Amino acid sequence: MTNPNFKRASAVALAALSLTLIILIIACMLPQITIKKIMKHIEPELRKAINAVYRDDYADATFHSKRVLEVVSNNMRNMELFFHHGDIKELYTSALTAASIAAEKDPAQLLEELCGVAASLEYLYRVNKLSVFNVF
Amino acid sequence: MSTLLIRTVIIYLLVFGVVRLTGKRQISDMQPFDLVITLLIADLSSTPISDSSTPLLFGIIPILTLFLLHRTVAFLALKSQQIRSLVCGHPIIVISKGVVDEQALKAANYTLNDLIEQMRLKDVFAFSQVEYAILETNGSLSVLKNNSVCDPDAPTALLLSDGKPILTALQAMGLDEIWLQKRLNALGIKRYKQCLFACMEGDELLAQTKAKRIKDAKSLKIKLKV
Repeated sequence: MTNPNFKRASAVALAALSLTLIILIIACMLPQITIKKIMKHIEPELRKAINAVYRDDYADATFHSKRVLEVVSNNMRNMELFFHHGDIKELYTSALTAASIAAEKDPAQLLEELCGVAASLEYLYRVNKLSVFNVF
Repeated sequence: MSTLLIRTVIIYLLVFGVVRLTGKRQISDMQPFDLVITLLIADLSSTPISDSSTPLLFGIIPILTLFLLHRTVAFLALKSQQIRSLVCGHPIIVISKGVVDEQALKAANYTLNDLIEQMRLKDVFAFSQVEYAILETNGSLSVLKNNSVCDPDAPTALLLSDGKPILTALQAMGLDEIWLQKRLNALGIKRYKQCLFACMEGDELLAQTKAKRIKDAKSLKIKLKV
């Protein structure tokens, strides 16, 4: 019986450690990058939809609400990789409801759903940010 | 369901790989920091397997982080004596030249019963057979036997521990406190509190006195007919 090849074993261990480090760095950065990218696309549309509601311009509100839904739908799969699916479901539900009821001309309900989308996004951003409060 | 199946396979392969890469000692006796990672990995891997609404990364990232931490600690322990002491602790000599070190037992939170049990696991059934016993950092006991011809026909029976007689043990042997007191007096031990332990080893009564320093402790024996 002979000893195994220790040089190969240590090379494998080193490769595993390097790969682990790379995966961890990427995995720590990606959630924030993803949510920032989504917020960058959604926030202007949300603002326009909310302003349209205040102006009683429901055609514009409907258009921008549907844009919000489109951005959420396109990014759902990416978000599900990094965030709890329950939180994503809440975000999607609010966006879908807003897009569906925009034409009903019910400002209170529409604003509630649009603010729900904004709140969900803000929550996802804050909870994944590195801070003392999030750590504890 | 197929999602759960695939998640289970992924987590299993990941945990298997991590345990394998942390080295052989994970499988056998573990140091404290090895035990920590094993317990944590077991818990971390269960949630992503069973809950498909939790992203798989919520299990993968902590497991990989633990692997990285473990390898870093192991590497530092290899390179630095101070870190090794901090992480693994020191082995403790609990029996030295046949005398039980009471202070060492206290420091290790080890009772006499624990010591006797570990001795039995090493096929040592009498204190008289032991020259040195060392409590290793992984919790196991290493025993260096002496050349004693003591060959007890029964395991060591502890009759007194830490200054208090064990009445159940005395009764089991058909003895009582008066008998014990007489034998201890014959050894020069006037009060129970002076005695760390007393035990039957075959046809001998072995007693050790209490002392602040191990060199002041005395191991005394008397042959007797029960």
